Amino acid sequence: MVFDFHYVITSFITAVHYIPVTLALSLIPLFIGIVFGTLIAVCRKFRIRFIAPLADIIIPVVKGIPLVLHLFIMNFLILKPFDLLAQYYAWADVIRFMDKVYIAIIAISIYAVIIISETMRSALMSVSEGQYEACYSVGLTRWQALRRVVLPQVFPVAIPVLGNNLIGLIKGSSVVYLITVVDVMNGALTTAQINYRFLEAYIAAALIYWGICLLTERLFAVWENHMKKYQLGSAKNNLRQEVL
Amino acid sequence: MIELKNVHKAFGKNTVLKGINLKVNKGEVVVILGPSGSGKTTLLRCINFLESADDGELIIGDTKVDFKNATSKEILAVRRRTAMVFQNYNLFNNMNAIENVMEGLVTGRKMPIGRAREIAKQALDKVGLKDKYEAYPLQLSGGQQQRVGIARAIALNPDVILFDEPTSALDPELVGEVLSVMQAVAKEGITMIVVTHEMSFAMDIAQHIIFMADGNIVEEGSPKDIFTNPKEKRTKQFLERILPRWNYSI
Amino acid sequence: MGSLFDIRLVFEYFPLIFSRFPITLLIVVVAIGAGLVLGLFIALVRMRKVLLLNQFAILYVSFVRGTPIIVQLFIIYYGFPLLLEQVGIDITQWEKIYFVLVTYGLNNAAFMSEIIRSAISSVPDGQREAAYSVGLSRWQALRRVILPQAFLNAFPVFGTRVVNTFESTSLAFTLGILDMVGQAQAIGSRTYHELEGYVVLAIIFIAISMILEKLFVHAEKRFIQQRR
Repeated sequence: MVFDFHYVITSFITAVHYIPVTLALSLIPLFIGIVFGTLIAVCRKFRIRFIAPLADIIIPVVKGIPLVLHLFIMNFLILKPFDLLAQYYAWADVIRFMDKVYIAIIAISIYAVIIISETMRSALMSVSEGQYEACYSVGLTRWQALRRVVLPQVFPVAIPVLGNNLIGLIKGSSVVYLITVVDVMNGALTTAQINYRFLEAYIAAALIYWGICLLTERLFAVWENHMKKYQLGSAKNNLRQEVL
Repeated sequence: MIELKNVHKAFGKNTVLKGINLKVNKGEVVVILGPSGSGKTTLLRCINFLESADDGELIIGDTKVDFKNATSKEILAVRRRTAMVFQNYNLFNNMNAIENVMEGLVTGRKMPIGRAREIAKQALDKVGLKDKYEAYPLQLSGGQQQRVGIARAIALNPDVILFDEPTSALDPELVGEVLSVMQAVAKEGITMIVVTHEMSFAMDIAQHIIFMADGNIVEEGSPKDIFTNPKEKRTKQFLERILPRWNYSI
Repeated sequence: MGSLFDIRLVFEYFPLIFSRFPITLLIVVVAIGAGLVLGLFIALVRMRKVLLLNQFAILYVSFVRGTPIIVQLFIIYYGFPLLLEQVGIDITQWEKIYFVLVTYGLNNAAFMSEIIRSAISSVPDGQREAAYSVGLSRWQALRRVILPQAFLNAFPVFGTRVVNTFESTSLAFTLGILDMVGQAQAIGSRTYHELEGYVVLAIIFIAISMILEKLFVHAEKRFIQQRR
C-alpha cells in the first residue's frame, strides 16, 4: 500500500469534529487539578492536621501509577458493578448506552490532581519564607497572607509548568480510545476502520494533537508574560520543565 | 511599655536565649548589640512571634501573653501592635510601593481603602519616596526598598517597630539614606528596638544599649556608659574588635 | 462469578506479570541510551545552528513533544517499513518489539535534546572562554569542561525523564507486545478478573518508580559530595 495524502485529509476532517471531546478530557481535569491540587499543596505547606500527613503518603504513591492504569481501574470499578447487576436482572446492554467519557474524565482528573498538586507544591516553595514573615509582621493571618501575597506570586511561577501539565493531559487523554471513548485519536481511526488507511489516520491525529499543543504552548506563554509584568527580570532563566 | 520576662528559646539542642529580661519604655530607641550567634535577632523575632519562644512572658501595652501557651488570637493581637523592618526588606513582590504600605491597614485592620491610601502616601513621603508610589520592588534599589519597608512599618502606627539588621544587606553607599530615615523616625518618638552593626547609629540615636552574648544580656546602659566605660570583659572584647579605631582614639 | 476482587489472585498473577519486567526494562534502557546519544547530537545541531539540520531538529522536537506517544508508536509501526522500503530495506518481518524500541528511542531523543540543551546553556560563558584561553579546542572544551558541569545541572531533570520513560512504557502494549501491561490484559480477558492484574501492575509501577526516584536522589547527593 502506498502512502496517500488524500486519506490523511479525509481522516483529518472526521477527527476535527472530536476536538471538543479531547479538550473536555484535558481542560476539565486541568481545572479540577488546579483547584484540588492547590488545596492539597497548601495543606501540606501549612501542615494541616490529618490532611498533610495523609497527602505525604498518598501523593508519592499514586504518582507512580501511569495514566492508562488509572483509566483501566476506574473503568473496571465503575462498569463492573453495573455489569454484574445487568446480568443479574437481565438488563439488555445497559453498559453500551453509558457514555464512557465520564469515566475517562474521572480517571484523568485523579491523575491531574496528583500531578498538579506537585506542580503547586514546588511553585509554593519558590516563594521565600520572608514573604510570609512580612505578612505576619503587618498583622495578616495565614490565610490572608496566602490569598493576598503568596498565591499571587505562586501562579506566575506555576503557569509555564501548568502549561506543560495541560499538554501532558491533552496527549495523555489519547489513551481513552482503549475504553472506546471517541476523541480525536479514535475519531481519526473511524475512517481507517473502513478504508484500512491506518498510517494516514494516525498522521491526521498527530497533526491535530500537534496543532492543539502548539496553540496551548503559545497561549500559556502569552499568559505567563502577562502575569509576570511586575516580576521584571525574573522571567528568564527558567530551566524548562519537561513533559511526558 | 514593652516588657519581656525570662524568655527562653532553643533550636533543638542549641539554646539561643537563656532567660532574657528586658524593658523598653514608650518612645525609647533601644539598640541591641552583640556578636553573631548571640541571639539578638532571635530575641527580636520572638517579640512578634516569628519565632515562638519556649518559655517566658511578653507584656505589650495592656496585653500580657505567655509564650508557652499563646493562642493564635493573642499572636495576631501582638502582631497588630508591632511592626518589623527586615534585613532582606521582604517587600511583597506582587505589589507596588503604595500597595505594600497599605496591605497591613486594608487587609489586616480592615481600614477603608481611601484612608489607607492617604496614610500610605504620608508614610512614603516621610521616607522620601514621593515619586515612587507605583514602583514595584524589583524596580527599586536596595536602599529604596528598605525605605518602603520602613514606610510599611510606620504606616501601621505600631506600639513598637522592630528593626532586624536593616542595613546589613545594603551596598555601603546606600546605608546612609536608610540610617537617616531611621533617625527621622526616632525623632518622632516612635518606640524602636534595633538590631544593628552600625555603631554610629547606636552611639548617636539610641537612648539605651543592650549588649548580648551567648543568649544572655551581658550588659546594658546608655550609649555613653557602654561605649566609653564598658564594665564586662565580653563587652570590651566585642567593642575592641568592632571599633578598633575608637579604641585608640580615646 | 460474583466477586469483583480476589486478593489471592493478586499473588497468583504477580509472578506471571512480573516475569515480563525484562521487556519493560529493555525498552527503558534502549530509550535512554539511544535518547542520550541522539539527543546530544540534536542538541549540538541546534546550538551550532547547523543549516537545514537545525530547522529539521526544531520541527522534530516540536512534533515529538506535541503528539501522544501512542500516535508515534503507530506512525512508526505503519510508516517506518514504508520509509525503509524506499531505500530497499525490507523490515515487514520485524517483530513488534523493535518498532517499540525505535519509537521510544526517537521519542526520548527529542526530550533529551531539550534537557541537554538547557543544561549546556546553564554553564556560564566564562567557563568556555576560560577553556579556550588555556588552549583547548572547541570539542575539548565541550568534553572536558562544559559537559561535566552540564551533566550535574541536568541530573535531577534527567532522573525525572527516566521515571517518566518508565511510566510511558505502560503504553507499549497498545502495539500488541506482551510486556507487563500486555500480560495483565491477556490474563484479564481470559479470566474476567482484570482488576487483580491492574492492582499487580499498580504495585509494580509504584515500587519501581519510587526506587528509581530514591536512586537518583541518592546519586545526586553523591555527585555533589564528590564535588566538594
